[in-house]
Amino acid sequence: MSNRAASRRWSLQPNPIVVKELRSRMRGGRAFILLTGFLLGLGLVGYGLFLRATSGQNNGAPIFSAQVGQTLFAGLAFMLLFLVILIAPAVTVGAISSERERLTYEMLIATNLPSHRLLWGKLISALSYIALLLLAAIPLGSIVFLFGGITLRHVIQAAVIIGLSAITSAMLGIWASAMTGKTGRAAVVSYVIIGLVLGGFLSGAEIWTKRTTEPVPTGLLAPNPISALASSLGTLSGPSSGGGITTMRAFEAVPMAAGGGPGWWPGSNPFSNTGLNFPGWQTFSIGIYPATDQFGPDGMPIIAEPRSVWRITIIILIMACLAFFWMALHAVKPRRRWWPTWGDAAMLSVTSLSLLGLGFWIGWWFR
Amino acid sequence: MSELAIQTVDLIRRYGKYTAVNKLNLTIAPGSIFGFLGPNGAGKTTTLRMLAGLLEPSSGQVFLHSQLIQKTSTAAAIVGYMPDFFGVYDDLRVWEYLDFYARCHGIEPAKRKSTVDGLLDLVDLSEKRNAFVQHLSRGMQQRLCLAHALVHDPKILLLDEPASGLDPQARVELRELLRTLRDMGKTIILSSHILNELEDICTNFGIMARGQLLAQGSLETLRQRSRPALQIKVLDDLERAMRLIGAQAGVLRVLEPAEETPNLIEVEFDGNEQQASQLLLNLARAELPIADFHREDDSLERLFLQLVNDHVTEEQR
Ligand SMILES: Nc1ncnc2c1ncn2[C@@H]1O[C@H](COP(=O)(O)OP(=O)(O)OP(=O)(O)O)[C@@H](O)[C@H]1O
Ligand SMILES: [Mg+2]
Repeated sequence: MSNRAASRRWSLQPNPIVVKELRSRMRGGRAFILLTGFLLGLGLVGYGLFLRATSGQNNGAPIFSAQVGQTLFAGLAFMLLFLVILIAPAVTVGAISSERERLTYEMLIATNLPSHRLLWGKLISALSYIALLLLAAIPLGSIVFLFGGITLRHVIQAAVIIGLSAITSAMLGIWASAMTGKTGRAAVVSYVIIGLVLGGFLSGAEIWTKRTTEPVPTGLLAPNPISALASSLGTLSGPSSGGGITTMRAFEAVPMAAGGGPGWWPGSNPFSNTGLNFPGWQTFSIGIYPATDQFGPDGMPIIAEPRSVWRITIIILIMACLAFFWMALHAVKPRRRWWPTWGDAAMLSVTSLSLLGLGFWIGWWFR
Repeated sequence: MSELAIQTVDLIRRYGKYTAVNKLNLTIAPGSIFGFLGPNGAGKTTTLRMLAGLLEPSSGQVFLHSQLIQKTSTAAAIVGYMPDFFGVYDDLRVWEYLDFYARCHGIEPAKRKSTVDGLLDLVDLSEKRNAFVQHLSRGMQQRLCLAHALVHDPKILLLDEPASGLDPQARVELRELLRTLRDMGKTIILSSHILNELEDICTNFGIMARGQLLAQGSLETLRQRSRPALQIKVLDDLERAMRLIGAQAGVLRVLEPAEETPNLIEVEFDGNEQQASQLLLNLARAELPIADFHREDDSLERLFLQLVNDHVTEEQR
């Protein structure tokens, strides 16, 4: 019996790593304590957002249900984004290194299990745990729909951005685990990289807007899932409606307004009745709205459509995942070979081509 | 001659500048139990890991049943490997542990349960089937680890110090188990420090020191390489006794008595039995007070120490 036949035969079976990890991870209370904490936190944040959206920040104007829904949705989406990005590496930084540290690695490698199935299994079992968290959050999150103001398109876009960020973040943890061989070191490496990507690009964009009036270059926005999510959520209240968050942002882009009038606080908009109203929004959405110097008949600046950087982000994240996977694949093998094989090259070109094709085919995904 | 189970050709492994395994040429016939001996740091573990495909040789080749090992997966199908130090997964039950490795080897679902049950039976852990692995005793974990190496019914078993940490009773059981496995047609390579234990179970031996294979073969062939010795206990008049012994036929060398056994003269002797009896007769005729006179048994341990010491002195020269 050849190896190839053997691997084909059992590639139909469930991944052994997933079976094992689910058996052992789901035992004992740890998994469920974290789940409870996660849901409690999400509920509290949701409630806080609700209070904020319905409190006196609207200068006496009526509160639109849609506005509450949009704020809740955007706030929870960001919350989820941060949670999955932070939790995913915590679940995966031990993937390979803990096997090494606990002296189970050699016995695992000495089996017939191909390295890609090993990594895949580690990824899937980590993601299935995160998916469990996200699934558990659905009942709570669906309250948002009671308020309206959100389209299916937004839900799908947010889900894609959050999901892909979770996968990339988990893959980052696995990569660090395989490369360093030490769980502690892998955790440091992963979180430093996450901090650099999330904070670094955001600060870069911030500094850019302070220095010049030129639009922030895409290179500072696209690699950052935060900017990606903001660029998707930015379309919530419709770009040309004249109201909504877009107005708010335009005003804050005017240095005079950003100087801080009475009642100014980050993310609030003293001049508009509608808009996303939660702390941090202003920071997250830096550079998303290209400023224009034209004013409409009502004296409000005319806002350009938010920049759709999230489309590029998706491609970047997929590429990052593949790169991490490829490097981890080579690092877990006892015989490390860093020269790309023809298979690697073929895989790379097929993925890039299909990504490109996909992008063009659906016209950059429901624009 | 039939196909060899294991053959290495000029196998070398370096760690930086240090050569842990130097030009190893092992040949191991199928069905044998091969005892791998050597002092700490001899390179046994390094060799076994190369045989299992877990470590890349710096140069040289490994053939398992005539198949050149270039990938871990090639070796994985042929070899079951039990490392010297190993850990177990927490929160897994004993049967789940074996089931996991069975899955990793791609055993079909239909065969998996019977494989696991058979192995638990073989290593006598059926009663602990549902216990958590981390709660097993050290000896039980050792047996479980041995069982894990057998899930895919490999032709070759590589066991790195399987007896370490086992109590005498467990060692006897391990020996029984190894015999059973050999009767199942497996080739077994085990490394150990406990020499006299290997002696009556292994069919072949390899003696290694400082990365080099000093000797390999059956106990008989190895014995031919050892210089037989006589031990003579003389109660008095040591000087005269040594001079007399030195002049006898068959005597190669007379060693100074060690400090802790001041009356015991060790003699390297390659004469036949007639010459030995003549030697004793001459000593008696000289009226030397002989309290004990015996041929040193050709124990593996003696042989081992002799070979290793010779190697060390040779290197120092
Ligand atoms: N990963 C490594 N890096 C550097 N040197 C190593 C490494 N592994 C082993 N060595 C060196 O190689 C030599 C052989 O080690 P090995 O573990 O093979 O010996 P051994 O015969 O198994 O010894 P023991 O009986 O103590 O288990 C030792 O000198 C050791 O220091
Ligand atoms: Mg060793």
